[in-house]
Amino acid sequence: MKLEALREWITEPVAIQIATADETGTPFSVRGFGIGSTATELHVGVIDSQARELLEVMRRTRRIAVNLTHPNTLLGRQLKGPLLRIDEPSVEAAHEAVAYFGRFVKALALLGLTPEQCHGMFHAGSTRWLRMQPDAIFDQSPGAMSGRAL
Amino acid sequence: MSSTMTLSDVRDCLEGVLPAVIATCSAAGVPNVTYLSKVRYVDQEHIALTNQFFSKTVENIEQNPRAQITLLRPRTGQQVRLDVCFVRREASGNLFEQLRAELDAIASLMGMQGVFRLKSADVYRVIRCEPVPSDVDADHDQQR
Repeated sequence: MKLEALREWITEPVAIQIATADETGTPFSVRGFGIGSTATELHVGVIDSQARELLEVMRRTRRIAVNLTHPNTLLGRQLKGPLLRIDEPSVEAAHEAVAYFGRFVKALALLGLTPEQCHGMFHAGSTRWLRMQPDAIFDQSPGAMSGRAL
Repeated sequence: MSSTMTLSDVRDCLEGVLPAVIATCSAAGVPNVTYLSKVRYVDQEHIALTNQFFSKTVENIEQNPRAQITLLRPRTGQQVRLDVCFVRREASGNLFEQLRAELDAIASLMGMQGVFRLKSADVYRVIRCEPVPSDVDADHDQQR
């Protein structure tokens, strides 16, 4: 699936939520910090300290869903498909997480949130990319069409 | 409840200032993650969620009652994770009416009066309540 149609969600400081599930169907989710793509692959950053259980489960089940939502308009998309790879932590991913979070906090300021109200979402430290190949995209915007496959 | 925190410790997260997140999983093992308009404290072990249009979440919960909810502290943005299990659905009564009034207020603030329509108040039992590591914790540690 070409990700070009999702450019608006991939290049802006969208809210990123990532989910997986274990073999018993127990779900786990974590906030993402940083996003990028190639023509067919999406990658999102996760902070190890916040994602220990999720990473452990994802290594086994390879299940992943990613929700991308604009904080100001609530327009959202959910991407599902196979997990391609869990990268090793990198300095580049950690730097990108800091840069992304700075942009995200500025976007939240438009809603009246102060940096102090956002500070606790982040935890600086070991950060890595999760790489997935979306094979299904769903409308996640509020309303009757929420959940519709695109 | 197997936790380092109780629901009483996180009641500030239920004020509705910052949106919560719910992750669910279908019977086939496909995860789903979406935002919640309102999470309401019911008692020490239960919360209620507004069910208006998160159809995939409801579909998943009917197949598999387990979910994970992430709350945000309104003053710091710190995250709190709740592992929960679906208990029941209420489409009338006090809880439903209270949630409907709160949802109407949220919809009005967001300019979504015609979009948010409460179908039911869904009650979940909280199994685990844990904080997510945060820079706020690190700041406090440094100050000690």
